[in-house]
Amino acid sequence: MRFVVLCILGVALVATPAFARDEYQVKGAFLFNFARYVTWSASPADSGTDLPICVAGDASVTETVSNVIGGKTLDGRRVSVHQTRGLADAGHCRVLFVTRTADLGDSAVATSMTRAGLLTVGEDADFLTRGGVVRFTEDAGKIRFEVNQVAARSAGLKFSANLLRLAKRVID
Amino acid sequence: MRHQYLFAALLAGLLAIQTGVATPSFAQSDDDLTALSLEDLMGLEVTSVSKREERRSDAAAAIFVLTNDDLRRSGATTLPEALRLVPGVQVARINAHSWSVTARGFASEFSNKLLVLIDGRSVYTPLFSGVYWDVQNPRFEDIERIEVVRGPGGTVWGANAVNGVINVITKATEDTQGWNLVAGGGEEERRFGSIRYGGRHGDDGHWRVHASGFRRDNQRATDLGGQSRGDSSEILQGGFRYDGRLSEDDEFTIQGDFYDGHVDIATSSVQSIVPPVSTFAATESDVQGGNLLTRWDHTFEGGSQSTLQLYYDRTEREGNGLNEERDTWDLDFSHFTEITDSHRMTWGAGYRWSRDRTTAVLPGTSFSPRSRSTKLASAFFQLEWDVSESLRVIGGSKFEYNNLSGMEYQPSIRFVLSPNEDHRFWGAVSRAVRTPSRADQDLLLLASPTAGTFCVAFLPAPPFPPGTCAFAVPITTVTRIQGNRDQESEDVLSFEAGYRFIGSKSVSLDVATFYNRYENLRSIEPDFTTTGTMLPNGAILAPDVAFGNGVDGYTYGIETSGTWQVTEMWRLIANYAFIRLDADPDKDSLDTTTRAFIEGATPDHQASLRSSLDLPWDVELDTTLFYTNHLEQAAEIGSQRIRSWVGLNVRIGWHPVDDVELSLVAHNATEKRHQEFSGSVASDSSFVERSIFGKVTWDF
Repeated sequence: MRFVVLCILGVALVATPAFARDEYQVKGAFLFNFARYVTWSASPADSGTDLPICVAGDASVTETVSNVIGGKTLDGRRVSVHQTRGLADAGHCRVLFVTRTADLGDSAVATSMTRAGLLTVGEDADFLTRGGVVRFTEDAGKIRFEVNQVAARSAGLKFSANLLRLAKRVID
Repeated sequence: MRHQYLFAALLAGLLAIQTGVATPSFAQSDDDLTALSLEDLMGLEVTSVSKREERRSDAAAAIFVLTNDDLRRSGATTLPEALRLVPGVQVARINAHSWSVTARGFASEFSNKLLVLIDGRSVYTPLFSGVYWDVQNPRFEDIERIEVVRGPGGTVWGANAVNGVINVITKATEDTQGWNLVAGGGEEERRFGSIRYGGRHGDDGHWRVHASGFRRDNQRATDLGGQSRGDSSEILQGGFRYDGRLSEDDEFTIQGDFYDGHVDIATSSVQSIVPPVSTFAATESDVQGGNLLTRWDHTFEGGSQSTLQLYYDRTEREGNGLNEERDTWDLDFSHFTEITDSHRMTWGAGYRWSRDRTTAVLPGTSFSPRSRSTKLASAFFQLEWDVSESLRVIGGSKFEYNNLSGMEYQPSIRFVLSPNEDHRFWGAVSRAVRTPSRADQDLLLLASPTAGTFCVAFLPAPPFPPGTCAFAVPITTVTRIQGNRDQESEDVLSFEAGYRFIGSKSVSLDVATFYNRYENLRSIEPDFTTTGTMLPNGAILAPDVAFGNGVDGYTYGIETSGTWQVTEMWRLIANYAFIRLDADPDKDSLDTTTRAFIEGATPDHQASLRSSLDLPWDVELDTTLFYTNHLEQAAEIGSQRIRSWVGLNVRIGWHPVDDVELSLVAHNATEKRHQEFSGSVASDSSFVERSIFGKVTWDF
C-alpha cells in the first residue's frame, strides 16, 4: 500500500495542467503541415516572405487558427492567417480553408473549388467532388483527411508521398 | 470490512493530496501544435468534432466507452480484465481462463443476460447461453473502442441483450498501417506476442494481417489442497481485414479470424454413475474456431444509409466431458434515414441459422437430441423524434421468431432531456427477453454423486409441503438434471433513469439507476416420482430435476462514474455501483435453490479508482484500485462466502523513442492471491494470483 501512496504523491508533484484540444486548434496545425508537404509549381502572386493562409468562416475559427500557426516560419516564410469570405477574395492566399461555417452564397456552390496555385481545404461532404483539394473528415473523435490528386494536379500542387500515405482516401 | 476502510482512507488521501498540490496554471498556449508531426496530430483526440461523440453523451441509455488508449494503459491482457474498468459491470475470474462477466446481476460462468459482439458478430453461444471468454482474444492494439451499454438493448440488438450489450469494435485498416510488434511475458502471463502489418491497395483500399499467441500459466486451486488447478491455456490465432470502396457511396469490409489452442482444467470430480464415482481428473480442452465477415455500407442519394452484413462462424470445443461443434450463418440488414429534420428512423431485418453437434465423451453431460439447429428471424424499427430543441424521444421494437421459444417482441421507449449544454437527463422503459438455450431445453446432466441422506418415508402432502421427509438414512445419491422442451424465454421489464454532467472539459459525471422486474426466470423443479430408484452401481437417485420458468425477481441499483482531468497530464476516473437482487419461486414452483444462486453471486457494492498520469521523459504511470464486496455463493451444502477483496493494478510505461513502448505491469500488486468466484458447474475455481509481466510494443 505504501508503494501506491508514494506513486500517487510523486504524480501530483510533477503534473502541470491544460485541457482537451479544440477541433480548430488541431486543424490549424494540420493546415501548417499541409503547407509543409506541398510544393507549389504555380504561384498566384508573389507574396514575398509571407505564407498567407486564409480562412473562410467564423472569425472565431480564424482567430483560433491564427493563435496556433500565425507567426510560425516554414522554409523561411512567415505564416500569416487572414479572414476571407471565400474563393473570390482569396487571390493572395496560398492555402484557403473553407470551414463548415463559411457562407459562400448560393452561386458559390456550383463554382469549382480548383484554382491554380491555391491549396483548398474544406470540410463539407461534397468538397472534393466540387474540385477541392483536401477535405477534413473525422473518425471517433480524431481528425483524418482525404486528398483529391486530380484537383491538386490541375492546381499545380504536388504532395509528398508521406502526406499521401497518411490520407484516409486519395482520389486519383 | 477491513477492505472498505482501506479503500475509503486511500480515496480520502488521494483527494487531500489533490486539493493541496495541484493548483492549475493554465498553460494551453505554451504547447506548440505545429511541432507535432502529421502522425501525431492524427492521434490527438479533439472535442466537438465528432457527431458520434456528441451522440454518446446524448444517449438515452447507460453507456460507457473504453478507448484504445484506455486498454493500452490498463495493462489488461484479456477482455474481461479490461471490462473491470466499466462501472456496473461485474467481472469475476473463476480460474486462469474462465470468467463470470455480467451487468446488473445474474453472475455465473455462463452469464446469460449479456450480449457480446465483436465487429457486429455475436460471440454469445446458444448452447449454454453465455460467452466462451477464453477464446475471445482480439488483438488489443487493433481495437478502436469497446462500447458497453448496460440495461436492455433488445429493441435493436435482439434477444439476450437483457442486462446489457458489449460491442468490441476494431480499427479501420487505414488506422493500422505499417508494422506493429508486441512481445512480453512474466509471471502468470508466461509469454505472449503478436505481429500486424497493414498496407494500402489502390486509391481507396487498405488491409492488414495479424497473428498472435499466448501462454497463460496455471493457478492454485481453491480446493484440492491448494495444488495447481492445471488451468493453463495456450492459443494461437491469426486474421485479416480489408476495407475498400466500390464507389463514392459504397464501402465494404471483409475480415476473418481463426484460432487454435487448448484450455486445460483439473477438477476433483467426474460426474459418473459407475464406480469410481469421484476422481481427480485433468482434462485438456482443444478449442478451435474461425469466422469470416463481410459488410457493405451504402449511402443513398439524400443521405440515408444502409448496411448489409453476412458472417459465418465456426466454433469447436473438444474435451471436458463434452465435445461441441457449431456452425453459424448470420445475415443482417439495417437502414437509417432522416424522414424530416426532426424525425429519424432506423429499421432492419435479419436471419440467423446455427447448428451444433454435441458428443458426450463422459457420461456426465449430454444433449438430446445430440444435434439441433436454432433458427432466428427478426425485424426491428426505431424512431427518433426531436420533439423540441431540448427533448428527444426514441421508440421502437424488435420482433423475433425463433424455433425454440416462438415469437418474441422487445419494445422500448426512451427520452433525453437537454435543458442546456451542460446537463442531460434520460429515462427509458423497455422489455427484453433471454431466449432458451439448447441446455435449457435438451440437457441431461448427472450431477456429482454426493453422500447425503435418503428419505425412506415422506409425510403426506397436504398438509405437509410435497417432499417433506419423515425418516432418512445416509446414502450416496445422484441427481439428474434435465432440460425442458417447453422451456420459455425469461423476460425483463426495465425502468431506467440517468443523469450526465458534460458541462466542463475537466470534470464529467454519469449516474444511472434502474429497477428491473424479471419473470419466468429459469428454475430447477424437482420431480419426486423418480426418487429412490437404485442404479446398477448401488447409487440412489435423488429427485430428478428439470428446468422450468418458475422464478420471478427484481433488481434495483445505481451506477456512477466520474472523470476528473486534474491536469493535462493527470486523469482520475472513479466508478461505484450498487445493486440489490431479489428472486423468489412463484406459487407453482418447487424450486429451492435458484434464489440463492441468483442473490449470492453478484457483489452488492463495487468501486474502482483509476489514475492515469503522464510523467516527464515520456513515462506513464497508471494505477487502478478495485474494490469488490463479498459474495454468498450457493454451494452444494449451504453457501460459500467469497470474501471481499481489494486489488491494485500498476503499470509503468516508457517511450524511449517515439515508436517504442516498454511497460511493466503488476496485477494484484499488493496481494499474493484472492478468490473471486466459485465455479458453478463443477469444482473449477482457482485463486487469482499476483501477476507481473513486461511488454514491448514497436510500431514502424
